[in-house]
Amino acid sequence: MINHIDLSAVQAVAAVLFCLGLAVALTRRNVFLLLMGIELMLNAVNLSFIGFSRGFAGAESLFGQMTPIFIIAIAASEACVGLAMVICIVRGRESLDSDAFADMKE
Amino acid sequence: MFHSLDAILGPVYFGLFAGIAMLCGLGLLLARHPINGAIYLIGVMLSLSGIYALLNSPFLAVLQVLVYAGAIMMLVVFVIMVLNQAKEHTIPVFDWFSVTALVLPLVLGFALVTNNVAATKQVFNATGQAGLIVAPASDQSSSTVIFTASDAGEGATYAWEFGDKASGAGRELGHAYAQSGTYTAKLTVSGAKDAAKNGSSTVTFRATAVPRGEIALLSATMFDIRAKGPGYYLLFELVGVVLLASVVGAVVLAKRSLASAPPEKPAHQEGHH
Repeated sequence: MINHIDLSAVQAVAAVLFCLGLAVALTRRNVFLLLMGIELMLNAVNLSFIGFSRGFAGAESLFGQMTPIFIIAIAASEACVGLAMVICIVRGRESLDSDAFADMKE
Repeated sequence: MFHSLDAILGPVYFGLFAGIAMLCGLGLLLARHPINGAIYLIGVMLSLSGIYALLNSPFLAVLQVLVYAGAIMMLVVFVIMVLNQAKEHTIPVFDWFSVTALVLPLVLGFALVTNNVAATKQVFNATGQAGLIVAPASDQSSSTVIFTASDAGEGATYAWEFGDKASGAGRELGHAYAQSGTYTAKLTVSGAKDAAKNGSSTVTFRATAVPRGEIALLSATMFDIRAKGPGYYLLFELVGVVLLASVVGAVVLAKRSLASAPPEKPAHQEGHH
């Protein structure tokens, strides 16, 4: 009834998703896609944690279950704050291109 | 019929979800518009939720659908549509740095898989003597090897040497090996009333320390509503699909209403009412 899968398959999926998210965050100029790339990376980390929580016995497996809850909470607050900042910045600039925000230090 | 499918259905589900997640991730990378990217990302999150459930983490699976796909992505879609910039049609800009960031983890991930497939699985060759049966069994979801000795009757004490300089006592006990390798565990039975059952026996086996091993998937019946187990999980996936469909519908309706919206009336006409 119980079927098995190689732990490294889970980690490989997590690695692929993480690098896809990294590529999105690095290559896309649209600020929404940039934020979504970061969300994808956070998701990949969650998957990695949960995979390892199945691989370790005892107390270690609890950390793998607990950490994603914190990460989800942080991602939620990050999305709220980030999108609020995007709205504020875009209002003055009329552009969603992250390169257009490069002059913020001035 | 369903039970015979059980043994293969779990990995099939995992492959399905992993494939959908990776394809949707690729879709996010190549999306023409942020709203398409958001729909692809919701697809990734729903399939990840399925993988979490397969990995026996149903609470996180539900949280993933509720918080990520539900709350966060709804907020993202909402803000994208508030700041509607449908004319944005940029394609991703690949420079050498981002190509490296894309390819390197892919190579590492598949090296990990191929390396681990070649790794030896746990094999137990029990060599019982003197009426003793040493039957180590392995709980595949953990690194603990479980040792069981045959019952030697009243008064018997069981002493184990696990082969890694650790020892223990008891008829049935588990031991976690810190390192993978071939170990010879020794069982010594003494004090049994039946003298023939006293003695010692050894067992040689290969223990694979996690995480270089296999992990158990939840039974495939999780996706079977008729089953008594956590078959309700399918309902959460359905809720997620409905959520996705509602997002797509909202986008389609909004685009249609934007396309057919009448030009804005001059401000002085509204002032009279």
